[in-house]
Amino acid sequence: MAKTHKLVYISLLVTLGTALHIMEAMLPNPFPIPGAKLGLANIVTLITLYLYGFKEGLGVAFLRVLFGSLLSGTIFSLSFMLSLSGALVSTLVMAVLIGFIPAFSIIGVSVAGSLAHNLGQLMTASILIQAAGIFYYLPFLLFFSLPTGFSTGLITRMLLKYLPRESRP
Amino acid sequence: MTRADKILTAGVIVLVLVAFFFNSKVFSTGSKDGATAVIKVQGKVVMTVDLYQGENKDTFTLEGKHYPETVEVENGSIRIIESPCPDQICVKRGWIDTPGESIICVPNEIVIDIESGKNSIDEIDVIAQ
Repeated sequence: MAKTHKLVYISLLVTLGTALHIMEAMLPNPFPIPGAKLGLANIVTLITLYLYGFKEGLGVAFLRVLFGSLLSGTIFSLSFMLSLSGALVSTLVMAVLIGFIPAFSIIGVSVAGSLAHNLGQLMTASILIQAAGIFYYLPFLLFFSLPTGFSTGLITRMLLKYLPRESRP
Repeated sequence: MTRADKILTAGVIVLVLVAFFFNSKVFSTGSKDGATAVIKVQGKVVMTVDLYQGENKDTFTLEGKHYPETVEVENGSIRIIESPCPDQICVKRGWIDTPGESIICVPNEIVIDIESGKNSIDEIDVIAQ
């Protein structure tokens, strides 16, 4: 029973993440620089990490990028590579913080994830485009990851209250 | 917000300030250094002008597709000062000096691009998702 329960929950989270991923791509960029975004899909990764753990979080992050890119038609493009690298790096960092450094609250974890997302993306971009000049964006991206990480962390904290703890396996 | 969160936030703010400082050191001076103006007529490169070759000041006539235009180079900037074309858009564009900027005269098929060798930020032209 617990296995089915988990399967359904993970599937729902992947679906939700995919929907947010696509929706976010449709929204006009609220920030003055390209590359910065709200990171709504990160909420789902964060919830998965808190409810299930690292393996599941990584899986959900990977699948939502895969499906999101497949449905929005950007798969295997540069933006797909950027999304994927950002999602994987941020999941990794958030999982490490949740697992080993309990001093951080959800908000701190979310901000760190947002930072990691931008760093991972920028490194991938600099490798793929072969332009070190892209690091010019670094301070802007780091700066904007504070409000975005904070808000996604806050949303996650609110959501976790309503998610039943018995959904844990 | 726990203490660790606040430390992280403060750390990021410090990092951002340091990075901004670093940026202004590396990119603003680095990007204009060794900038070249690449002049194309009908898609073919006819001339490259090294900007920032000391205190240069130069005015020359550029043969376009239909008529000649007068181009001026001064202190690392380049502009078209005179053109017989009807809209005068290329003239109104004024001075350009930063990599990524360009003057384009459509009727005469003249394009002047500023390009830089290292640290070029003009190649960033993707939208991340």
